[in-house]
Amino acid sequence: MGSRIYLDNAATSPVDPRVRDAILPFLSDEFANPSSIHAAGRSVRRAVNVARSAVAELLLAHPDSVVFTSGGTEADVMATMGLALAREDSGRKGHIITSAFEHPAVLKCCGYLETRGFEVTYLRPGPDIILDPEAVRDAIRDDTFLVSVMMANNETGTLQPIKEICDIAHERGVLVHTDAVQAVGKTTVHVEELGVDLLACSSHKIHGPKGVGALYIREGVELTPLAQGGGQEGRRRGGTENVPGIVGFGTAARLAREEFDDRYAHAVALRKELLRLTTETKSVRLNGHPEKTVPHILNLCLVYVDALLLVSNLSRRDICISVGSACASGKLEPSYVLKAAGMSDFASFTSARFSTGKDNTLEEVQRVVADVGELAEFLRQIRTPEEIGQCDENCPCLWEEGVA
Amino acid sequence: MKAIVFSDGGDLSREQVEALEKVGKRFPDLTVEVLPADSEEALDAGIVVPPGLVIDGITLSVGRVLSPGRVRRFLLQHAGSHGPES
Repeated sequence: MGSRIYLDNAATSPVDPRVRDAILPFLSDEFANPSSIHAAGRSVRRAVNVARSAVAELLLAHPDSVVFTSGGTEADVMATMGLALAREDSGRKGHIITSAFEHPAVLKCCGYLETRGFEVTYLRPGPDIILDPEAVRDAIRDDTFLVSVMMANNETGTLQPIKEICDIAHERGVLVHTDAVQAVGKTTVHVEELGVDLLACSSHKIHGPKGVGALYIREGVELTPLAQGGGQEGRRRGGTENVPGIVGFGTAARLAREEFDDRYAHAVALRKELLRLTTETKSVRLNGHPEKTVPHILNLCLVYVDALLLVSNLSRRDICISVGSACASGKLEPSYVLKAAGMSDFASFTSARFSTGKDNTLEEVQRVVADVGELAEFLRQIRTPEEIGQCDENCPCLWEEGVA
Repeated sequence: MKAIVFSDGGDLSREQVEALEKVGKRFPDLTVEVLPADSEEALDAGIVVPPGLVIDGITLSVGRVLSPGRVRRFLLQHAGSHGPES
């Protein structure tokens, strides 16, 4: 990677060399189909089972409750669509509760289900981008069958009160799905303590390969399989398994569990360093919550700084950060996450996400802090506040006058 | 000084070129090149939405027009060795 400083680990993270080494045999000698009953197939089947156990251990779940998918998106789709279609199969529609700041994988599914006659309530978070669990209680109806709320927000890192939401939903017999793609391996995720019924996670956010994820399905929860085919994954997802990806995911999950304490402490230290921007650089504010967050994601509003210009000019210095979520990049549209929290387009266009990984060093982050501070000062001279926009009256950010 | 406008041929891109031409009358050393907004060079410069403006390797605008006054201010204050790319 050379001198590149990569602070976009929430988009994807580099594959750990130990993960890569674990994958390689399954791209050569260990090529057999894990469904085959001969020795070569059984050998590969054992590797898939080891990986399944590793992912389950990371979630403190039973291995049989883990279904491998092509990634976090498919896991989200399998959960929301699979549950809705199972309900439809029994002749019913119904009501879903989700948040307005979910990953598009969930939002697009909910939108599609609305076209099929389901009803969806989209809850908005508070200014700290955290959902009030009581809002879930108020939204539950007699025909509500699913609450889908992400565990850690991908743009701001804020942690949602999933346990409280589960308690409320279960009182009414409603199942809970959580997209935990940004939480697994970054904070403690214990499916039994949380009480979730469905949980999506992804390999490439924890230094595993892309193209593989998993859905935790609590025993007894019935989903209609979206990928019909063979009887793979306990008849819950047809198709020959992506064995190299699964083996890589399993290795990454094992390493994430074994090294959790060190990685967490490292992420906290890097976050503390990045937070210097809020105290040592003029007019920089944190979007989100200072404590209820995963430590590796930090979203900052740099007042009057066009965040796209910041990203572009940092990129020229081989420093990688992002604006909005990775899935939304490429469109000059305000962040739907920040807008859901009531923030103005102005706040959105001047906000950037920094997301660290286990391989980032303190020195790298210190350089980023220095360069962002310098560029912010420069970029504030490029545009007047009027050219960027103004905070709305209801923007929850703390407004500062006379910046530029 | 070299300015590159990443253009999609639309109104905003033309407006950005015109802004540079206007400023160029006061800065004869300024050369203006127009490249497609979907080129590799545009991606390298982080131009995800046209128009984009890069002067001497510094990205000054993405998806918006930088006014002649702002271009002029940049050229006066930051051109050459005073640019932010160190």
